[in-house]
Amino acid sequence: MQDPRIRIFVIIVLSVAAFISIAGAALAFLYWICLPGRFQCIKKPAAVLFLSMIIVVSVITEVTTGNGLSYFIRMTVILLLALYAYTAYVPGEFFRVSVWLFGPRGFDPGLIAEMSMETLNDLEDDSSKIRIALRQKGVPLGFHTLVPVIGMFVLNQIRRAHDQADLLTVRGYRNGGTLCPRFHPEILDYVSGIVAICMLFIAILPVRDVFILLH
Amino acid sequence: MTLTFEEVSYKRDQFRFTANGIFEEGVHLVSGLVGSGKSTLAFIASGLVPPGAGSVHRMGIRKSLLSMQFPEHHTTGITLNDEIRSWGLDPEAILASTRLFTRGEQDVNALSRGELKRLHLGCVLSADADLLILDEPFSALDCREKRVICRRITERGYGTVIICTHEQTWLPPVDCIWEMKEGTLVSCGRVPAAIPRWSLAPRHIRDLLKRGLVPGNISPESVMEVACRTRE
Repeated sequence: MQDPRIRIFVIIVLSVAAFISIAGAALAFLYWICLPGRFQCIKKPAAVLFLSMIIVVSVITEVTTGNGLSYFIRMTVILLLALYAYTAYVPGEFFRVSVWLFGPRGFDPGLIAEMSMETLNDLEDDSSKIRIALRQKGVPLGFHTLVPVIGMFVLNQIRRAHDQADLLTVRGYRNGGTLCPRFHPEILDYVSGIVAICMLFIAILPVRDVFILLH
Repeated sequence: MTLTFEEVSYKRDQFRFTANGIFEEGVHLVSGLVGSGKSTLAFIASGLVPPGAGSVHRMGIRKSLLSMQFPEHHTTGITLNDEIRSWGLDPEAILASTRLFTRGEQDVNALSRGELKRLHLGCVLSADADLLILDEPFSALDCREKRVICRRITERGYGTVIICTHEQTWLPPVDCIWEMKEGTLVSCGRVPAAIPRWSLAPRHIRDLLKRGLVPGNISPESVMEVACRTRE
């Protein structure tokens, strides 16, 4: 999908479909299977972390109120879609989409979204580098190393935020700005969007009703 | 002791890296522009990133060590003493060699990036490694510190040292020069024969070459020696 507007829309629609019902989750999963670069996104270390969290919450849900399996399936599909969205993201996309969607008012939210994505990328980079450092020193990640490692993450972010603030000040930024976003949607983008909407409708309709309609 | 790149290739998004060559014992300079693939070479050479295709052979190399560009990525200790100990080194000796004498109990994060880089390189250059890969070792350092690092690399006297840098002035005497050109590793050969073939040579060296003068090596002292000889 070349057009970020349609990609973001599809991710939102499919996430809603997956959250609503198991049928929606199954359809969203089918859609995810067809996406390019789908397996690349699950190789990220964050995938294991988030999946572990989903498993823990699912087990607790199953034990306390039931429906843990349903929760696990639906949230795992949402996680897969989110990971795909993160992997497929190209810097500047949120900025363009935000301005396209909200006009001049979308400039600042777009800028914030871009900065947030950059921060996530930086954190991912820092975390891979620190793992290399620990591996080279032969030091396991434990309580003793956790404090300086987290400290490094926080301080790096503060330094970067400071540099970014300086840069914006030097460029005379106060608030708002001008951006003329351009998009080049392809036919396949529109087809992807329509398919996602259909999947959402199927997820909303009870499966029994779908079979009645078919008859 | 050799490090061999055999038909190595690596791909990341639009970037493609290829390398073929043998790094023998001695000091190697890998010169290249920003984004040309020097850091990728450093990571693959250290064995921390596997190549996409081809193979990297390490003959007689017991331990390799990669110094990444930003020193904070190596920080795993709270105080300077902790940090030095995490490298398995004696804090007193390292603090003395990096002129951070009385700051052993200070928070590592209180150091400036230049000081942290000094401390980090002090640890790396004292560590026992047969293969030492230094990715941009001169960044964040002033001229005086760059000269100190050049001297320490020269004094090391064993193993293979690969310096990946775009530094143009403060360089130690090296045995071989390599270039990274748009993701491809190119050998210029052994010094001094490599110097005229070095397309990314600093301007002061290129000026000498234009005048038909080939310095014995790329360090400021060697270049100065040739430049001064012409004045006589």
